[in-house]
Amino acid sequence: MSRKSLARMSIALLLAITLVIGLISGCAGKTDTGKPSESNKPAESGKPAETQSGEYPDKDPNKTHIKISAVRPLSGANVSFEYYNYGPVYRMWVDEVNAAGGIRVKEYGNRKLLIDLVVYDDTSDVGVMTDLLIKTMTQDNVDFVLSPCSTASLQAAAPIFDQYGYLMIGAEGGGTDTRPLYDQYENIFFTTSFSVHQVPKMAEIFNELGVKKVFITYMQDAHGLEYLGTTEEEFPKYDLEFEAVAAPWDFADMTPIITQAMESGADAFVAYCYPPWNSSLISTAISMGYNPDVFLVGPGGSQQSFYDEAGGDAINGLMFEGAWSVNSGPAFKDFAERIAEYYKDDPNWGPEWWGTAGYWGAMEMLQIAIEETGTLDNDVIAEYLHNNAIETSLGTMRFENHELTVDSWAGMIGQYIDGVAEVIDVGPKRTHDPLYPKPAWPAK
Amino acid sequence: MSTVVNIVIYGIIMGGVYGLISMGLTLQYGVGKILNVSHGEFLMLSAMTSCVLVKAGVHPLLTFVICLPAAFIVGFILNMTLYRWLRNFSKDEATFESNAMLMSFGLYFILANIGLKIWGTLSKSYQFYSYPVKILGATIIVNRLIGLGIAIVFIIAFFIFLNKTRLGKAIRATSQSTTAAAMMGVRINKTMAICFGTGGLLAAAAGILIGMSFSPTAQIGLTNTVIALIVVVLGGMGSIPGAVLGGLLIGLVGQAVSFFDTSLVTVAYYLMIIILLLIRPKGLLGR
Repeated sequence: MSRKSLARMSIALLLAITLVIGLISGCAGKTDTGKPSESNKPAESGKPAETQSGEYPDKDPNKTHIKISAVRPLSGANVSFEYYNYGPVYRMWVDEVNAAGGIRVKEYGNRKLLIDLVVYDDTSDVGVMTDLLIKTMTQDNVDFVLSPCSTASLQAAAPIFDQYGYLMIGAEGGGTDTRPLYDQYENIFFTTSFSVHQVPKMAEIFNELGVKKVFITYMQDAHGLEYLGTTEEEFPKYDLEFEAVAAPWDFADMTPIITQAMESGADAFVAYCYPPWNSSLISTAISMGYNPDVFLVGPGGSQQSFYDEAGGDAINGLMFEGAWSVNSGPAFKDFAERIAEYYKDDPNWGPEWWGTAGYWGAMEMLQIAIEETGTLDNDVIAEYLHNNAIETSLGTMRFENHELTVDSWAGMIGQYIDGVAEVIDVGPKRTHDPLYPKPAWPAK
Repeated sequence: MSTVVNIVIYGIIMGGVYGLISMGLTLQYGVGKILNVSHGEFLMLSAMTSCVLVKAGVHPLLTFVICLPAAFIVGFILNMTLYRWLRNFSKDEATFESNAMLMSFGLYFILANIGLKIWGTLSKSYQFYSYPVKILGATIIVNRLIGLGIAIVFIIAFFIFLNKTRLGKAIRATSQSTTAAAMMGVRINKTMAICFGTGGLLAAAAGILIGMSFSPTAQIGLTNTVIALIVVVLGGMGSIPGAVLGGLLIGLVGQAVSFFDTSLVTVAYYLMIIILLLIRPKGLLGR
């Protein structure tokens, strides 16, 4: 083979590899919107929109769809958030709205408009996300853009939403770090509960249960430090003693942490860590026979699949940040059943008990705001969201200073009790008394 | 006292696993001049696959019989195809080395995303001798000790293979001089492919041990590649005994620092590397 043809083959091979990488990681690729099975069934584009009487002028009689786009982590490190958290919510919402004929918009002759959704893959990369966000806002002629995923993404996205005149209703992410954005960008909203909402409730529960000392391990990043900071403010209010140890940066052997927890004599163990760390902490604690009265984990713990994978019945009594429950009320039960039905063909999928209910409520809030204001104008809708308590199927929800109010959520701290995620907040939102002390890990 | 025993025992345990991972990487580099950035992905795929197999009812030790040959075959084929072509296209050894590293980056992205597509980001785990025993006052989980035993068996078997078998001698000859080895009748391409496959096999073995003791996710590949690179640089590029020694040192230092401040482990690793590069740039046992 000549040098020249070798070079040609080399270039062809490199191009092929680049193509494969591009395909697999989904770089900047336009993707399906739908759930894994019949996901991306296009909205019935040929169907004429329902028309009401002529009392409402029609801005554009040819408009049949509300165009919505989203830039989401369909691949990469954050893919599980798309898979378990916000992804199921917005996909089901679009399908349910379309099945009901669409959203009625007064400025379009009070016709019902179907939703046309397009989702781009940001490959879990904030840089890719911002590029795609600008692309969809400038080229796709969309009416709304859904939230990207993660606190870092929301921080990067907020100025872009503002610059191009879109309102942002955040999903996964948010925290004290995002609060300074509220003063800069009027039309941003956050729907996830975080440290300042959850830790006070956690302290209340620990106090009620008679916990004296808490051993905490935390990620040394924005998430972990934020939760630790709130803990330093809240735990002293109840004379709760605590000892905090940083978790390793990378996935590693958790034996040193569990050993320190055992030696601390604490009766509660709390991990402000991410799913891989939390899972490893649980399995190491089981292996070492470390049985504190309380074992509470952060992100990931609210995913039913995490609970099942980490041990299921063997870790009965595991507490998590969240929270909502099928027992939070008939509407929550109905929502849980609908979403489970929606994903019934996917054996790997399981419900998520932290943000999902809030995200769903926020989608309904958007829908109601469109119907009430009669427009797709993002500024008008944002103003409505700022100023109105909205009756959703999951109760009255309201934004106050850009965040859902505490009353809008079904709870803050959850616990798996006999396989069911329950809300154990002190007060009326509690769906089950806390299981305390948690049952010991099964003996080997 | 129990803390010191804990550090030493867990340090040796982790050192054994790190040694295993690093031996594969250093073999691939020492013989084939491929700095394989996708090395940790072989470990990840093996760790996750073994967990799935165990959940499906396969005995953990039997997963070695399934995952190891698979990793070897994949590595062998990759070397016989992609890397061999790349070698043919490269005008000299230095160009090949840099191109091979770039290609391994591509492989890393492909394999890592395959893992994420299949398993998402949730951990997999199973219980295998997951109970503690007391050794000199320290609490040690039995599966870690089993893992150490298996790692030692692999390391010894690999040394015997390299030093006592004809193929091992061919590998050593190739690592010293490709041209001279070829003139002596060594089939270079096949030898390099076997080395690459063996590297994958060793990473896969380490992956199964990690799956046995910890809760792996589809994201652990790169972390372990970085650790292996640190170990290889520490021990000396291309040195198999250096990889074992480096693994042991990293294991001990990692555990020691973990017991005082877990977040400083990576800092300690890089500090070791900086100091070593200043006083002995070739690594502890580098030539």
